[in-house]
Amino acid sequence: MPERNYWTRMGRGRMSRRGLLKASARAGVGAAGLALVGCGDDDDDDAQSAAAEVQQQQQQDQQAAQVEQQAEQQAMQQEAQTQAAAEQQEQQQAAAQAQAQAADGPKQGGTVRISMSDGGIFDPAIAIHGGTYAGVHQIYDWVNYLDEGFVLTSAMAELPEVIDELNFVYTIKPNVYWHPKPPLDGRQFTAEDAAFGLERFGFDNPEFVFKDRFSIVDKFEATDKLTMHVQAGQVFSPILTAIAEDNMLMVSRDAVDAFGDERISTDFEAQIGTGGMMGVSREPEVELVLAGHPNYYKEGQPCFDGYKGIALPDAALRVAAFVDGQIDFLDRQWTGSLVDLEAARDELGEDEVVGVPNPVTFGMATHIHCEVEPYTDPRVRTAVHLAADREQLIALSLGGLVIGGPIAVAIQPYGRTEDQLRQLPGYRSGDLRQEDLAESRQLLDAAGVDLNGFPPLDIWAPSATDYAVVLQQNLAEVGINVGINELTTTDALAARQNREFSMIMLGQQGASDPDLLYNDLHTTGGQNYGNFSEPEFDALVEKGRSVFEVEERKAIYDEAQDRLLNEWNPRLYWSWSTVTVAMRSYLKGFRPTPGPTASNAILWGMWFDEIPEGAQS
Amino acid sequence: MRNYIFRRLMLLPITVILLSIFVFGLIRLVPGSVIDARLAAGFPGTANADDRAKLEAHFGLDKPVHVQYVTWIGQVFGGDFGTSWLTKEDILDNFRRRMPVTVELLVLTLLIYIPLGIGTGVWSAVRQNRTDDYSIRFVTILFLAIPNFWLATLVIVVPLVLWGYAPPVPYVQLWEEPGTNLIQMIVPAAIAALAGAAVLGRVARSEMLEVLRQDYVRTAYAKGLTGYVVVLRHALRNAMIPLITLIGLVFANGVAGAVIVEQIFAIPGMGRYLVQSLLNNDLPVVQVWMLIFGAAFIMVNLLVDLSYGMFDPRIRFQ
Repeated sequence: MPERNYWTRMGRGRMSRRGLLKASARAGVGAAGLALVGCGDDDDDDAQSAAAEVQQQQQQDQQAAQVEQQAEQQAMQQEAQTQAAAEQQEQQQAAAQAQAQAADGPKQGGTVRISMSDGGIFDPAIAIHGGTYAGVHQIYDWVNYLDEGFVLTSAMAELPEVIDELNFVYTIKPNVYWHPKPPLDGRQFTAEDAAFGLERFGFDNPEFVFKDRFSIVDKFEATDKLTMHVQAGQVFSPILTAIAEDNMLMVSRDAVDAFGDERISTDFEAQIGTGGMMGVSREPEVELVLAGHPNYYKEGQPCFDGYKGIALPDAALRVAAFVDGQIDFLDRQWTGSLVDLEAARDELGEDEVVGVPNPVTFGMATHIHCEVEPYTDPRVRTAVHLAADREQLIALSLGGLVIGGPIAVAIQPYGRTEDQLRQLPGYRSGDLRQEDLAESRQLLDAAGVDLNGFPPLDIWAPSATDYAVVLQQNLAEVGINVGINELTTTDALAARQNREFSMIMLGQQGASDPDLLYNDLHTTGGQNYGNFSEPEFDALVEKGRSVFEVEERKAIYDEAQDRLLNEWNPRLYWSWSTVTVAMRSYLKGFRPTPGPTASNAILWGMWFDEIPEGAQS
Repeated sequence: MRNYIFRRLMLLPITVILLSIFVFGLIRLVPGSVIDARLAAGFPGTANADDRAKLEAHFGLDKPVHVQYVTWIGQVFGGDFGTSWLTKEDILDNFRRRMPVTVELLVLTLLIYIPLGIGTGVWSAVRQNRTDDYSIRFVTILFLAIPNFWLATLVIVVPLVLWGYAPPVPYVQLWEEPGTNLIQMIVPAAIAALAGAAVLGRVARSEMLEVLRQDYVRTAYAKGLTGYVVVLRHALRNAMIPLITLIGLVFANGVAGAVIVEQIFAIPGMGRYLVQSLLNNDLPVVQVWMLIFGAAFIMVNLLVDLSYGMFDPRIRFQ
């Protein structure tokens, strides 16, 4: 029987060989970034004397250096493993392609044309609309960002110096400048700017949606022109990842003072950042035109002279415009579907279109309300878990979903791969699935529930309708008779928010760290919609927050995932999304950057191998 | 006549007020709450009563419904349409920018709809039970049956597959590049017009068949008038009353069609504005949109009623 896993399935989806290679490389590199996060010191002895302080400082420095060295070694090891795996898959072809690209090198010029969804909102602190990112990810920039495999990467600031578990120091690069527009007029980006930019997310504005993001941070403080000190109030290992997440873009105090929050949010003229592109013009729901930032801090970037976002809400028109050469990327921003990719390839030929898998950390899940009968009994929840046929469910997505567990597969090394999951009860197929179904029936018998008395399954219609029908059939296999209650998006969100459901099939929010389990299922977790409360689980995820070392963290989250799937099952996990970034093959240098929004792809390192007609500057 | 017009105009504000109450109430009966949606999107699971209260106050939803209505209608009659909850943009500015786009689409739709509908109907009636009559009847039924969103998608996909052609994007204004603009607008206008033209054609055919059997038509032929003169000057004019009513409805059909074709062809008009606002629970936009188009529809109906007298002198307004 041929090996079946995420990567081979993507391969059958006719992804490009290079894309396949890059995607498989991603899995291994993730540990390196998280290792860099783990530069902490567990020693909390109080210094009693100056000598002791010096000694402690030296010890800390040594430990930090050791951790950094360890991280480096891990990174190298992961990289080596990644390369070996990649070579096994597509060695010759990928190498040839890589050589061809290396020989040519980046080229300057041209205007990249992207289909966008124009949300008309530009404030990174009000990210309620996917279209927000069409503009803001090009205009603004990050202090640090998460590169391929969630590797923490320096951007406007170097990677932070970890003083101890609560204190981090960022050194701003000296060559970062704001766009040459008033009131910033191209002045230097400073630590004061970085501190304000991060602090601003927590300001008391009813529309700011990341207010809780840095609630554990006591202060962001500029200690000199290029040094920012971040002091946390409690140990929180994902803090550096949180600062680097794709929403964390820097808005300046000067712009806020000059324009006010309202205009920062809505007025294109008020968008002044440090990003690779700066605003030229915007015609709402028509196009967004940007030009290269002349003083961009990344040498040689952006390679494009300009950027044009074109609002194309309909899929047929998007594919047509892509095939006709009017846009260079298929689909809105970066997301795409295999169906559209195949349609474009049918018209243009295999060699003209490149499809790169870009796993993201959002997906579909079925939230179970643990305080509503009959789901108060964990045996019933586990019975539901064992009855669900994941293969059947994700088959409906036409390649848009991969089988998933509690942590997204993209968050390595924590997320379970499809192959790993397929060995587990509830994810198995064939005869083993029959065993799971038998166990499910036994659990239901033991629980003594009325199989015809299950409350209806609330679903987000029409997006989840087909999935719900499959789940309904799966549950019928073990005798559970459950109805389906279709809700609009607004109603479904409200039902989940207000905990007015028994079992609801809806989207699963993305994250960049396994700490998502805390938000999802800790008794006090913000997204614990099903009111799950289990002290042992709480203890596990609390511990996960306080540990920086990757292997130790992995052991914690492995245990949490195992027990979730074997004992508690507060959610029916079945999928995470995967996004296919489809582009014309004359575009080079694309790097998949998985994340919660799928739209933080690093654009400015890309270039046109040949500038197509219509893209000349 | 003058009294009739005066009375109808006097009724207009009352109708608009009733319409505004209907629209305002209807919008609030739609399931779902923008506050819930915002809280769910922005503060997943962490929102508390204070967050909710702040957002409600921010959107003015903390006041009693009748106060909200009076405030809103007062602002609308004062020329302040408010701002979008989603984009914070001024709604009136948006209307100013988008209205010409949709008006152009409606005019083009009308230019296709009337000649095509009446032309095919008249031709079909004159050539009754011949091959061309059967063909026209078949095609009109076909276009009645085909949903315009499907037709619009087909119009994009078929040229792409056959010739690798796609409509030019993005949208350009008529006064910037008239040629490109017409290329972008003519196909959506035709699609918006086709189903309506099919209805108009079928009604025109049946009306014309009835008129063509009248004695005065036979008399006209007997006088030696040409078929062209008999059909267009004598028969068609007498068949026009029900057709005028239908043409008046083209406004409603055109707006409904615009909602779909503007979305599919990426035309930044009023129809697309409505779709986006509905999808995002942007109530201030939706209620002003419905009020404006409702009032416009009332005006169009008035004009249609007044135009009856032009086609049939026997009609008197009292």
